[in-house]
Amino acid sequence: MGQIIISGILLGGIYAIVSYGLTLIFGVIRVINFAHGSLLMVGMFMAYYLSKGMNLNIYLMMLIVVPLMFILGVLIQKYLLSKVINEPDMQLFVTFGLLLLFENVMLAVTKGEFFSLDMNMGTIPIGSLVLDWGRLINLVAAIVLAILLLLFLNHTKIGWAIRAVSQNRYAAGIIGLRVERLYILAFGLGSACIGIAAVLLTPIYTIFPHVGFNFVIVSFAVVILGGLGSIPGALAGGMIIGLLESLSGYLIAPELNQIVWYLLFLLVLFFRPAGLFGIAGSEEGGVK
Amino acid sequence: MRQISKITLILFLMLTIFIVGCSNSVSNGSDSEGEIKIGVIQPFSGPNAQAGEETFKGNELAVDEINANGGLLGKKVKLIKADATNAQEAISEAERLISKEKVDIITGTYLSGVAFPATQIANKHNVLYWETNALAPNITQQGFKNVIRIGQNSDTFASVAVDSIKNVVAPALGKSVKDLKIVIIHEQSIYGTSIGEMEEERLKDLGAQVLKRIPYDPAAADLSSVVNLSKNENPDIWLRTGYVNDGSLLLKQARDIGWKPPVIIGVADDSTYLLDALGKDGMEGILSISYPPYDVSEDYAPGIEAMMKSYKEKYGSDPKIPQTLVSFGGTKILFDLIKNAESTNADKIRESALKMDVEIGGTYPTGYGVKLDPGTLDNTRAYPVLTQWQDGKIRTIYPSEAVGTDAKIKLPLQGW
Amino acid sequence: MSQSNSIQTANSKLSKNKIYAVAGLFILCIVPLLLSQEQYYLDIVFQAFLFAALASSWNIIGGFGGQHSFGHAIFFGIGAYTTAILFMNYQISPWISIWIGMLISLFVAFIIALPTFRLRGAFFSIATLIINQLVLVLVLYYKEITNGSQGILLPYEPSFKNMIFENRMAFVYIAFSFMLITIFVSYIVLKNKLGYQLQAVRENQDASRILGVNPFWVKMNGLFISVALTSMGGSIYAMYIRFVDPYLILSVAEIGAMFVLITMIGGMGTLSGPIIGAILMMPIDILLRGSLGGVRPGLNIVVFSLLLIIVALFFKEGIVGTVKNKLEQRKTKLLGEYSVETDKTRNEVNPNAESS
Repeated sequence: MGQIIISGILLGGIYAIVSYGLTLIFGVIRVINFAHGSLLMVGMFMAYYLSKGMNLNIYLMMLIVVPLMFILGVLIQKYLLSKVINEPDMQLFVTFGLLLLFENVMLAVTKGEFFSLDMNMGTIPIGSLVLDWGRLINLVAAIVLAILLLLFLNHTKIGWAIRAVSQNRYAAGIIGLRVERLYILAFGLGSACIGIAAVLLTPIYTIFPHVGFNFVIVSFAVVILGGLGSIPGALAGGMIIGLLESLSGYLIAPELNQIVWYLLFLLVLFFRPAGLFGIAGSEEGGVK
Repeated sequence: MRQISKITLILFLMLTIFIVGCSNSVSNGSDSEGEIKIGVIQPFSGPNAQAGEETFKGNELAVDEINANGGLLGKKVKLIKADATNAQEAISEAERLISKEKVDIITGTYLSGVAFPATQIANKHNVLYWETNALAPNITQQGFKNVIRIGQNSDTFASVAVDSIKNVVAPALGKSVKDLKIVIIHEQSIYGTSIGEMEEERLKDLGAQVLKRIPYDPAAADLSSVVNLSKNENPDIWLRTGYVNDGSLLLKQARDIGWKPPVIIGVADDSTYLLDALGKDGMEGILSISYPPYDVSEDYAPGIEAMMKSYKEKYGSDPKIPQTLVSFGGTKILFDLIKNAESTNADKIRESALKMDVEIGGTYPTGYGVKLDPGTLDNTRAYPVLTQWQDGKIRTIYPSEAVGTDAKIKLPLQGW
Repeated sequence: MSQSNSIQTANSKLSKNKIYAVAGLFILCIVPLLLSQEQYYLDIVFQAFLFAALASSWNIIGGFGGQHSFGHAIFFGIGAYTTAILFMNYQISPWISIWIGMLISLFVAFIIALPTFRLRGAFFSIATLIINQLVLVLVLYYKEITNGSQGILLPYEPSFKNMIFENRMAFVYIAFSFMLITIFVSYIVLKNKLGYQLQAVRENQDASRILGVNPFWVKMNGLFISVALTSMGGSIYAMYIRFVDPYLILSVAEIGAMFVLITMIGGMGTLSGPIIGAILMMPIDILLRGSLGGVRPGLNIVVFSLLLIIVALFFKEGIVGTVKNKLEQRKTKLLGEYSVETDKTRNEVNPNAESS
């Protein structure tokens, strides 16, 4: 049982780190970004190829992958999404197009082959319980990244501006913030966060063009459960979903491991749509 | 600026129309009598694209070989790819192959879900559907006279798994079958479920203790619950049916909690992708019920070495998954039947196939024999084999006539 | 007075233009394929008609009512499963089970809508998406009823009663009639009180309440009509494919989201939008798969997705909306007046343009 709880917390760390990027993008730009998972996949392929190509430790690749992903995010927002900035429908449409595009470009390049880093980092026994290094590093990174993002959003001018835009883009425009540029920055930052997640997940998962697909729905759930745009919320949301998935897989049936958190998610959505950490009522502003 | 982007749009649209139009005219134009056309339905896109592509290579190698030797019935053989990842696409593509490309025969299919509608279309047009790979039992239970499964099915997989446990694994552990504790896990689609259920049934018939059968979602981001549930039972044998990515996640997660049962058996776990994921030491000793692997003896599977060589020449690496060999062998049997029947007509090929009687081992590169069940048209002599990862290589263990080297089973497994 | 008159004539002219445009497109894309009588092209035409109808059904709640459901695959699945299960177990003709499926869909829609209609915008979309996943898990788990992941394979027994035909042309007729039904229903909804109420709720739910509209029941009625038609489509689809595969039928990416995307690219909240969207998207997708699918894995979808993105960037308000706007602009230029009315129609075309 203890092992199950540990597995749940470690899985929570994975779900949390995957969701930070989405909470920035979804929380600020308010677009349902279907391309989220495929961005993660692109980041994982970058990390894998770079690490293999340069024969360096995978975690060092963050120094390269994160800036590259930032640039990719900026390009997407600047040259695609900002062209349809007043058409939420078309934004969603474009992100779906990007999902298909990224997945299938990688498919055409790799012919769908599977890639894994053969990295046995070993385990840490604590009494009768065991933790593995890959997921533990990921969990620590998830917490550290949450703190850094929180500091950034709460204590820098750009952070304030981003938060202002996420709360009310029209008012933010009126007080002189350059909303479009902040959108570009937010997408870039969100994408960079996905890059960090990608590097951390590369040693854990087998990489193939559809690897990101299964993280899309869970990321949306984490972001909404925690509260739109809330970083601590995403961390907590990830933990809750990770724990629930692990526990219900163990106690009910692995086939039904997602059913409990689906239900909890819906309950939270119905009774507190702002999410656990969101400001009540915030879900109505701008989200339409 | 606007002008330019408009022009790109128009150009792009024209390009698409051009491509679509071209493909139509080309295929209509080349409707010549001088070749035998075989349509290959596989998932060439989507999550299973890799398997589709690798399976197709088997067809391709067999065709290269026959064309180099003067073709078939005096004609060249030509393959036409059709990409189908689900039932809806299977209908479109099967119709395209038959009504537009005018193929003589259709072969496939990695995904059973694609095989169902595709066999129905082929049946409607009475075109031979030559099934080399799909495992689902009910593909051949539809009562179609044009669907022949020359490859193995879930039934043969389950029976080889059970036979290996009885004849090889139990003696190696020094236990009788009745004392063996077994946990079966399988992915939840028809492939894993049909094999897992048959294994459970037959192992129980043998008197083995099947403690649990656990279905799971192969796309799950975390399978620790499956690993922990299995670990709690403390089984002797961990018997798994699944795909590559869930397989590597399961094995890695078992390693991450430091659990290794005495025996791990997987279906088709002899893919090199698992070796990439877990390394030589990680895979050491893991058993696999598999399509015939690449190290079976040349006596048992004549032509396998030549196939390995031409694969390496053509694609620049060793074969990655065993399904390539299965489609290669299956295609060669098809060519022999076409020669016997002197026709590509479904009825004539079925007649000559029903007459065919080839013992297991010694004829085809898969080691398969040929003897069709007259009711279902399933090949009753297509059996997988038991293999073991030893020192980063696949070794055939069972049945003994398939064993190429003097490999012996090494059990129980050492820790990670 | 004269001004509003001139606008009205402009509008009626526009709608005539639109009819010509749809008819033209129809002739361009579909008729040559139909004439060929080749089974492959008939399959393409069938899929185009069926998805045009399904997108139209979705459009009633999604477009008119502004509730972007990503869970319509549930009702599609209910139709397909009801027909398949009743056909296999009780030999009930699909012509009858279609109606049973619709009733079940109405019931399920009510259960789902009770809580989800409290939600707005993206939250509603994501809630419906999660419910779709929930239904998929349940369908896979309750094998006794649904046959689980194996799906249901229907035998090939052609007869009118079984809704299985030797000639694909029969299915083309069925899909075409189904499409006409959905267009007709959409038209009736749009021209009646419900249509105006739905649009009022879409534009501003709180304001509509002040006008005496009960948003919950307006949305519920719109949803009922929408899911009943969707379920009908599911039944037809099940008999066409004769293999009810849960991973396909209940797939958000391949079914549920398709309704949304087709409607978006064609024109959200318009009568002709979903039809135009489907008649463009479906044949291009299938033809690209046929021509490029074997060249390189995924190449066909690379081209397809590039096409989608480019079209989205050029037709920002959907094909119908953008074309209409262009014509409108030309019209007002000719009339030499810039009226407020223009903006109004613009809003009608694209509800979400500035309303966020």
